[in-house]
Amino acid sequence: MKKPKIVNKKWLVIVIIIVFLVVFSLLEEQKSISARSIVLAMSIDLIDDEYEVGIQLLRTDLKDKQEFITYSTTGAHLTEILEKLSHDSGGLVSLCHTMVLILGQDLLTKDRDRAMRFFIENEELCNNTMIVASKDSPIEALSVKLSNGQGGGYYLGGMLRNIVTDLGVIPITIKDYIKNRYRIGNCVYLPCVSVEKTGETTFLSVTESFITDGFNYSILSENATKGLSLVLNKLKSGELSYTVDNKMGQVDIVKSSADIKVEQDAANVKIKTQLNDRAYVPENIDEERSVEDLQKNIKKYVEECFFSCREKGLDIFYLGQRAYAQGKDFYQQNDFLENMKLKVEVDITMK
Amino acid sequence: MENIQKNKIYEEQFLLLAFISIVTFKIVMLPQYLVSTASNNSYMVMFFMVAIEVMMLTVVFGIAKNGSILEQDIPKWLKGALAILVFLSSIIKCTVRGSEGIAYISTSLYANVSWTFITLALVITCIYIAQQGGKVLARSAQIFFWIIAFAVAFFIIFSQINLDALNLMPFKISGDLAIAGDKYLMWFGDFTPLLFVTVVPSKNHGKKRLAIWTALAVLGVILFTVGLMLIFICTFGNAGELMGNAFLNVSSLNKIFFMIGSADLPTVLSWLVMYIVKFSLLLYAMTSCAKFFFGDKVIVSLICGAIVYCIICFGIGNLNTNYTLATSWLRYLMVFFEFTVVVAAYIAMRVSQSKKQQNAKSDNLRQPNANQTDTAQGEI
Repeated sequence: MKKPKIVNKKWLVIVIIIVFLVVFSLLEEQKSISARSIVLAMSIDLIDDEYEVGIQLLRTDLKDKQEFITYSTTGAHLTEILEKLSHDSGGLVSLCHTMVLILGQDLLTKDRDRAMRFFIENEELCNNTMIVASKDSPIEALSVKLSNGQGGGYYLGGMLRNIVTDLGVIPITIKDYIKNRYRIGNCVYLPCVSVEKTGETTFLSVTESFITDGFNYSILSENATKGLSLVLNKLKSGELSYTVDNKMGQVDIVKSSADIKVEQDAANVKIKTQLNDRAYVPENIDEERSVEDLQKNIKKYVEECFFSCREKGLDIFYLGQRAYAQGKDFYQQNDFLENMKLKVEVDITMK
Repeated sequence: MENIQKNKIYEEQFLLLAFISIVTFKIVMLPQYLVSTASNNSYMVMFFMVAIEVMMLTVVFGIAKNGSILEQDIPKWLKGALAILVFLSSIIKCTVRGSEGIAYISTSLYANVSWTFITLALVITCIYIAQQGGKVLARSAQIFFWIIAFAVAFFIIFSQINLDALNLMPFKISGDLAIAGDKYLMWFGDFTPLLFVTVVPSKNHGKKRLAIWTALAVLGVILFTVGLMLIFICTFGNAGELMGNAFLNVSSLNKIFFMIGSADLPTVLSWLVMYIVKFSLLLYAMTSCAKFFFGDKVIVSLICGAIVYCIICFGIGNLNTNYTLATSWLRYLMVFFEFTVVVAAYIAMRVSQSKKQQNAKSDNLRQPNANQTDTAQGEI
């Protein structure tokens, strides 16, 4: 006689697997989300061969009161620093939701990307985390309490999402940064943030760009930053202004595209822009002259961007990479950038 | 007989298993390694090697249509030899390639969990699926397919990638491509486990439908491997050599990040289920070979699982050893096993078929005389 089956073997195995998977996290030291310090924004700088790292957290209490808290510490190794910050903040520092990383100028020009490589290779930060350079101390930009009550780092994260349309500054993420660093010339551009005060109002200003190849750097003005955005095909909307007969007008960018062709001694930039005059047009203005002025302005922006970078040996338009892509090797010459002339053509269509 | 039933799968299921088999291990660390060796033209290596694999799989499909190699009418000594080769190839793949997935789960999905727990959970699950046979494996793949489909749909809808074609230029065929192809051979040649299933035509599906599914499977393989490489290079350029898990790094670039944070769960899930199917498939090949010698017993499967577990946890143990082993001479051995088995199995199958045909012909020639004798005897 066959013995009656108490438990079906198949189901027994399935139950064992489920139990194993459920209790799996108990077997290892896995911190729950409540025991983690979720970092919203972070800052790093290099001071006397030591890293100064700051993190900003959001703490809410039962009454829905929000408080932005900043912790900072220094150390020679980033793992050590993160451990210290975990201890100080009372939870394991978790960087995967960090919206923005604020970098100091010394870190960008003296660290040889050691800190950045640490975060990328160890997958500490998400690829979409945005990065900015700080004109002053990055910890100041991170921890500043703005007039709207928000923490500097948190506000910056939200602001950077729409910045390209408003101000012409190109927001870049970690993956863009590292991609550009691996290009010929190693040149990267980052939005440059500074803390401004007007009376009792404290705010963050992001209108300029920080350009570096890891050693040299240049800070581009607001106009030169617009030129950079136009050449690199990043400024697809926003506003441009012009002046005719002392009358100022503004136009909206509808569409814009740029093409760069590089030869041994010259770079030809062609910008095609479609604008409309819905923003602000003064009365009795000559459209032809306003277009001419806009063309002149755009040309000036692009030239300012190119020449101020060239002066510091920075190949901001990636001309070396473009030459390499065309299968040419003249970018390897030492004076390749020095002798490069720039020709800018601007084609404007009013809609 | 029961064994044949357990390993019978439909043509569409074979295509799905073939797709998972080719794709799974190529979309994690391989793009990073290829970029570090052959930089912006490394997608060509991927294309070339995948094309060879697809061609080899058509041969495997032809063999599997006539039944599992262990059940075909070929000499027993040859079956034994093939079983040893597949066993060795599968154990190399299972441990060396499998540990790459374990490294990813332990470091990226969890915060540095010990390999012993992850390997144990995976080996138990996968050895159970493998023990159930090809049919269960194929059915599991069919169920998991919807997770993969969902992840792809999610990626298409929400992806936010700025592709920069400049990173792909210049188009140049150089010696680096050959070096990359040679160095990373271990990541290619994933077809022998499919020799142990018996492919039967689907009940209500015609040839036209099979052709469509085949085209979709090939397209899927190309998109998941070469397409991913192209996107990876366009997105990260030469910095790709720093980017660990290509599949996840590419798919994590989505619009949702700006709303709710990093949203890579669908991709993680889809890769995990592919990994489970692939790992089970390798264990299935291993256990099938072992059972050929030691009989169809559960203990044989458990021992195979224990061997894999021990090698992964105590022999390999970290990603650096894994890389060293994967790029060592073992790769030549594995490729030799993979190609030799398929070619030998195909030749053996053809010889056996032609013998059968000859026997049938000679039987037919003898048959009329026999019939005549019967008739004559009847008349008497």
